[in-house]
Amino acid sequence: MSVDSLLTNNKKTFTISIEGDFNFSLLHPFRAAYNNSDASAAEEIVVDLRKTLTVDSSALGMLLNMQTDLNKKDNEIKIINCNDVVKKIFTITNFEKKFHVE
Amino acid sequence: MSNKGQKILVVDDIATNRSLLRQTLVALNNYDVFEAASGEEAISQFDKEKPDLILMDIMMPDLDGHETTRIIKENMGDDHIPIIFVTALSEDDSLSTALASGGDDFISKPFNIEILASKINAHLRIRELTQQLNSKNEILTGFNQNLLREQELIEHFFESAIKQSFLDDNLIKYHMSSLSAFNGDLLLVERGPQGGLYLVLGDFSGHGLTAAMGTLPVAMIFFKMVKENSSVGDIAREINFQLYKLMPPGMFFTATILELNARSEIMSVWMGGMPENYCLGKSGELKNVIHSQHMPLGVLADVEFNSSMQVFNVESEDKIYLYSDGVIEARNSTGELFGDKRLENILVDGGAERFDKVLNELNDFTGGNNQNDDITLVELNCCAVSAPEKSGDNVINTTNALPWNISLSLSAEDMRSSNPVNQISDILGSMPYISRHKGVLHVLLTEIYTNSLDHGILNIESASKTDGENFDDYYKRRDAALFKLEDASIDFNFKFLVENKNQYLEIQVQDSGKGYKKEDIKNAGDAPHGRGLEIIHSFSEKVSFSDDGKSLNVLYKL
Repeated sequence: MSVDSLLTNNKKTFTISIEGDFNFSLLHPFRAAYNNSDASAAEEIVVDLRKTLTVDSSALGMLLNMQTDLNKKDNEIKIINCNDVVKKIFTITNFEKKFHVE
Repeated sequence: MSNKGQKILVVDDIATNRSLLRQTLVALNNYDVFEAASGEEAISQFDKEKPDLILMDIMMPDLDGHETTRIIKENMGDDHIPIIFVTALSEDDSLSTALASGGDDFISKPFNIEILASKINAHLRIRELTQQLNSKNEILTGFNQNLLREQELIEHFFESAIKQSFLDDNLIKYHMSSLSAFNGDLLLVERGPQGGLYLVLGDFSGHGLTAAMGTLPVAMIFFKMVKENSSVGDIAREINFQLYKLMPPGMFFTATILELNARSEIMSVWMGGMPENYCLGKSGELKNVIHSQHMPLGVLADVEFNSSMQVFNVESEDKIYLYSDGVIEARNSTGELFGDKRLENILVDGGAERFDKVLNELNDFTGGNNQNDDITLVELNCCAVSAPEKSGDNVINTTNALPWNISLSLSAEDMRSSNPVNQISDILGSMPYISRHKGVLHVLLTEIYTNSLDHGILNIESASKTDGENFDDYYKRRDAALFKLEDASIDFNFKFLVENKNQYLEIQVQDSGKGYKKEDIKNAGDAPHGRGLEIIHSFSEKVSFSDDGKSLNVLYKL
């Protein structure tokens, strides 16, 4: 389980990637990943769940906190590369209304 | 040169001439001598005895020496058996007629023994050299046939390795030409598990079989990692790692590895040593030129390797052009290069037909077949890709499914261990009919377990998770409570049921705490908490509480 971040697209896109299970054990590393000037200056925040196996309810809370902390409006944060199970969780919890899930 | 067993056929209609020659030949070198008294007999003796040299009289009734020689030479095939005419005619005439009918030399009667001996020696020597040449040719022909056969087999490997490739006309147009049966250029396209498109376009240094050898590891790594939904940077790193190990120094693989997500909005690219890629917008405007940022694959050791990718935003109907260096390095008859400027101009001015225009102009430029490198051109059409169909996953024979059940009891110590849910879902995942549900069950069990532990046993309210600070605080209190916990248990009972041909997993959870009820967990709304139960409900057929909320019963349809 790990959290990585990457600044691309001329420093316009800030991408956070999560590997393994996304749950409360990543509470601090996840917050640390976006609590910095790179993330607040970026035009676009992307959460890449390519390597994420599962997402639990505490991870959903962490995502909502990120939205609040970074002062982002609904649909401004992109969540990409979700597997089927993760996608289903976003659907049933209506997260697709708050995040741009693809 | 040994004369042992060398056979000479003497053809003459006059018996005394034949026996004179026989005596001379035997005296000369103890040749094995055969006789024929006519042309017809000579032909049949030739077939039977396979002589190494023939001495042929010209004037014979019926078939004369010339005619007999013509027939025998025809029957010889690729073999060379010298025929020397023995003649009383004058020299000049004899030589030309002898050669015209296919003879190799002549000797005039009455013959000088020295001359006869040296002519026979010379022609037998030629005969021997021809035989050596023929047998070497045979060996070479054999080698060549083996090589062709091996190439066929190897080609089969390549075809099978690359066949998997998903080349959909709507998304991708490509042209590949090659200098030899094995293409040094490689194009692989495959859809990712989430519907995105992955592509590798590369060029091995060199041509032909050696260059194509690297195709196998690249194709295998590519298809495997696409299935695992890897990023192009990671794919590049793994290919580099394997090629660095496998390839001889000096050989490398220039490549573009690209991923277009399913909605055709984000394109990530790793490029090493390849010429520019062009990205054109809907109306043909040049939006991006993507430059190579890395060294070719197979050059750097893993520690030096840089897997960073370039990420671009694209839109529907954008077109991406990729090509191998053969395109811009093609030369015309005066040696001038086709060049990237020329290519860029055709792409920008070419309109919708620009792909074909590039190929046509390239063909005109080089004058058709003047190709000295592999040429590959690819057009990628950005449009949303539908996710691949899953197959063969739902057919399960339930007629002989045995019912089973598994019970587990977690102590306070077990709850303190990092994550008991992982172990439980591993155990369940190994049971028949469950493995393909492992992902969903893991999610379900995580939420069930979290609710039982947090709200049942530790008795922490999720309403306290409202904002970032409290969220933190919540987990601090949770850790503290968990640390102090003694004499607690959470019991799981899993039961596999088959009802009306439907299979279910019944999950019963009983905790030793005060229990919790649905009402205890406030409705989520926009708050960052309280979604656990919602998730449990959505994935299950039936959810019920009993025993004052200490026991939860969940029915999951398999």
